[in-house]
Amino acid sequence: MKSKVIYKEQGHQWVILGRDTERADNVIDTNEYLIINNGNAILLDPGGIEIFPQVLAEITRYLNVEEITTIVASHQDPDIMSSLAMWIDLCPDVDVYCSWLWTGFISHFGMGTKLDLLPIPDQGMEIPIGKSGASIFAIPAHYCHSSGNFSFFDPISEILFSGDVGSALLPNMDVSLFVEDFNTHIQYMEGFHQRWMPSSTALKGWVRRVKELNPSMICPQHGCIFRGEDVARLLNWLETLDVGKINQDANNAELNQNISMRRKKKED
Amino acid sequence: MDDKLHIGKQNTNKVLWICVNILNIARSLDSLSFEINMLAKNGSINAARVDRSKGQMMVPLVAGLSDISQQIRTEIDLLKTECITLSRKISLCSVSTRRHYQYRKSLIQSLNRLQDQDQNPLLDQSENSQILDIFTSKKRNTVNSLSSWLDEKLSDEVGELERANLEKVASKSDGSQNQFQVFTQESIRIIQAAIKRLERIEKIRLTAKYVASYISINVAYLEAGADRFHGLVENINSIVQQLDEQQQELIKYAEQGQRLLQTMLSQRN
Repeated sequence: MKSKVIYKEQGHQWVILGRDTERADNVIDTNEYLIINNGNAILLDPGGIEIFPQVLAEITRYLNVEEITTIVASHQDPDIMSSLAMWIDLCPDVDVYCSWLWTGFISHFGMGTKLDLLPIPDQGMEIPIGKSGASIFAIPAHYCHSSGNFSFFDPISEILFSGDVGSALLPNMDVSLFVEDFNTHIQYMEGFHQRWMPSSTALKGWVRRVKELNPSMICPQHGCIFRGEDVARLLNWLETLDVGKINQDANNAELNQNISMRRKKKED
Repeated sequence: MDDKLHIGKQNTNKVLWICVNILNIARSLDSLSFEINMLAKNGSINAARVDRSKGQMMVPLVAGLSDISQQIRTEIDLLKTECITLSRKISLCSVSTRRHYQYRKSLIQSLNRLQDQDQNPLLDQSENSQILDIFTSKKRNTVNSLSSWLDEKLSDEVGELERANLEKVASKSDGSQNQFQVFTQESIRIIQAAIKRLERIEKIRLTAKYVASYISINVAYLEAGADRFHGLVENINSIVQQLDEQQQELIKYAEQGQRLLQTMLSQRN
């Protein structure tokens, strides 16, 4: 797993952890982010249980693990959160925030530990970075893709962690951490958004909210980071993208034929 | 390590499967206990019907059957509770194994990275023998072994921050290993208690067998109504035999579980 500081100014820094070449082939690659502010840290989408050892091994380079005061989850998927019980075992006093919609569901990742999750209301909220005095903001991203979904905005660095929005399925792990050519990068994002994002209306609403924030970088959970002009390129591209696309009738005839055959067998 | 984890998972799954089997057989013993109770009731009615002086000696015998039913039920209920507690403990064993594996893998990755930074990397495999030496301490004190190892191999490369983190992870690794030990030892104690309970059920079964033969002997002295008790004796013997078969099955599973747990414990020592 690689890690890199992507922002550092006056005791405030962002670290990306990703491009994990040691994970199993069947495990999707994810980006984890760490915000460190004067001895307090937030871990954004800590990742799945399969990559916990790699994430922990990388984090130990940047801070004392006991300084992780807060964990936030953009949504409930296993690649986001299934390592949570390990993090709580390691940092028992950590505050964990996720959408109110998923607190009861994420608690199933407890592995014998009782998970006391702090619910984020639908409208979002301010989340303190421990006792540093700094905060990040949970920005609603519902139905992008999960029904209870948040992006997180840091007003100090002006960086937005976008969760699955802006994500890409990269062809290999040698691809740069930052988008180098937006037009080339579209091919890795398009299918992902069309299939995983269920609602064009929700996506347009998210774009509107993010345009108002005017972030300096957009950091997704999979793929490459957008910075500079690529931030606006991404938002404009998402605004016109038709998502939630699936051929509703695909394979129906074959399925129905197989069901009929099974029924006939049962009758015989 | 992956192989060890795999074997560990297989063994915990086997013990869970054994728990389920014991639980299912225990549930079927419930119905046998109910049948004994029904036989006791029928026996009481029949004892009341036979000649007063001859029937009197049958009354305490069939009443004894009712006691046997109650005793079996009590033991079965406790056995079921033990099975459920054992399943929980086994799940905790599995969780601590997974935790230990995660911390250990993280440590190995950190140490490999540190070695790669060194001028003379020892080996480039994810688990090299010199790193693994840290985990083979007989006293299970990875923190101490790690500290000595870091001092000896990488004294200049490891900063205070990273050293503190590595020691914390090593300590968590040891902690989860110790938890595994505790939960496995508790599981062994529970399964040993279950085996003792099965021995008590065996004694109750022998009592039922004795009651059946005593009823049979007494029936021989009855001048009238003996037919009513022949069926009772046959039914008791049939239930005693079923109880015996299921009892043997339960003991087989419980001993198998005990052996597996002891193997799990010895593999970690």
